[in-house]
Amino acid sequence: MIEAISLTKKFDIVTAVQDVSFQVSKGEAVGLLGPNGAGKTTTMRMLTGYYEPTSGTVKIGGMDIRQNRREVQQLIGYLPESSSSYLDMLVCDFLNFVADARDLSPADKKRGIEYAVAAAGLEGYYYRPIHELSKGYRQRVGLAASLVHDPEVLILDEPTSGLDPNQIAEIQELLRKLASEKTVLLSTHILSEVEAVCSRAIIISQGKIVFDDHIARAGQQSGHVVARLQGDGVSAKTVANFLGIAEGDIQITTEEAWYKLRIANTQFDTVRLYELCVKEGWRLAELYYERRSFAEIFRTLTGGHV
Amino acid sequence: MKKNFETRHALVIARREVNNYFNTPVGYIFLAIFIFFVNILVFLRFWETGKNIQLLFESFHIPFLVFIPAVTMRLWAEEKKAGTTEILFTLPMSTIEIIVGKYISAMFLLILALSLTLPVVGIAVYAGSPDFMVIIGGYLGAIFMGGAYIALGQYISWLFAEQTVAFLVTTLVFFVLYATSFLSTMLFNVPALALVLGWLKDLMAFISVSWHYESLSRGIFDTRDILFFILFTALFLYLNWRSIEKSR
Repeated sequence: MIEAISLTKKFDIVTAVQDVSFQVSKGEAVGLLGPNGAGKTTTMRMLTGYYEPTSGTVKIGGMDIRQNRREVQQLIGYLPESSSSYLDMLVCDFLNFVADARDLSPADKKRGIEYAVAAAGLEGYYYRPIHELSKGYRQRVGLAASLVHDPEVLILDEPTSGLDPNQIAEIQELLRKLASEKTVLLSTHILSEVEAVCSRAIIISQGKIVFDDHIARAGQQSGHVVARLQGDGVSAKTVANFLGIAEGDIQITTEEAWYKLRIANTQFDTVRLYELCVKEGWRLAELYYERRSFAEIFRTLTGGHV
Repeated sequence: MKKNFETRHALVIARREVNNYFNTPVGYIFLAIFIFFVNILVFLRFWETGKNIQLLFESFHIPFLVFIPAVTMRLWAEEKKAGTTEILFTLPMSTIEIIVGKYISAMFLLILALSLTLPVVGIAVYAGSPDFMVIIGGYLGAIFMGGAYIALGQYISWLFAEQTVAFLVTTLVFFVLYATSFLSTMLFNVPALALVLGWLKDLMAFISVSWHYESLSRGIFDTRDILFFILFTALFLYLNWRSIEKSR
């Protein structure tokens, strides 16, 4: 549904996004993650036609944005990061303006606005001036505006930034609901948000993609086996020889009377390690795959500056 | 071939902009100030000059220098400062439609302001028998001149994110365009200079917006003057379009 093909954006001498390619299939909910300034917003602005890529292109619903900008924009509902609405307008006027700009017929407009107001939980705020609303409700107005034409694709730039924990929970609940109906790409730097709403994550750092996989699989990528054991003659050499792996893959630390082995190479059968313990008469207290939290993966891939 | 311009889209933009003027007291204040200045300038000399309706059209110059920048200053600067261009440019509309929509909204305000001077015409008709060619030419000229100023002011508004800066720069540029015609007359009055710099005098008169308005407001229709205003307007709308596209 969404295809980013070698997207690159340069501003004068600064390259904000470099050779970014990814796909989001129909019905999928994908999180675009990255530290501030990594290029998330720039990428989304290219996807929505606000920026023209310096090179590369975007295809949405099979249409190339370079040739069919307006047709592509017709398919997308977009929530910009800041200023997602005109503060000096009433909620109703703003939604009507967006619906008119999107060429909705009177019937579609009525239905679309009703749907958007209900989906964003704006009942009772319809005739309020937007500048009087709290940040959370302004965000809902922006979200409602992105929904009036019932788009197939939703692109949301930091939908929960600047909100308090209650508001975040409410918006996330909303996003979960939308994610089940539409193709969603949302950017955030709140990791739990991606885990809560999306099935897949793309991590972008310094303008490049450094990770693109399902979140459930992400934790397994750590690639360490940890064993805690006691006994005589425990050494990296013995273990490595027995398992048939390199000595350098094994890191041994001592914790009180226990040895802790951290093995980087997981291409061996852990049962063999148990057998080694039996053979050498070592006492094995723990043996497990070390899983990294998504936050750790994020920190490692984005160079630690979170 | 896809259509890059649909009037309907431009009107959607224009309607939002016009509502924006009148959602706050701003629009009313601008109109009141315009009418106030025009009336003072007209009636200071109306009776002593034999109830000449041409005074009305001559009186537009100075109020335009303030009124039009006040109307155009926010057209882009406000959006740029608030970041709402991101809403606008991600809607399925072309840049041209958005530019023209904004232009129409300012033109609407201008025409509204001009229509509020109709009572002056009424008084002139009541007090004497004014030349109707002057009235038609005067209003037509004022619309063309105002339209040219608006296109320029709208472009300047794109260049600045602060409305006040946009206002000051626009007023200054308008004043220069207005004053060059007088400056050129002054040059002409010095024969030696006129001989050497005759071409400069002509050039200054040519770019002076007020010079092209002058004959229209006397009821003399010259297609060159009309053409000047149309080209002037088109040029700045085009520049506006180009600098927006470049920024994307």
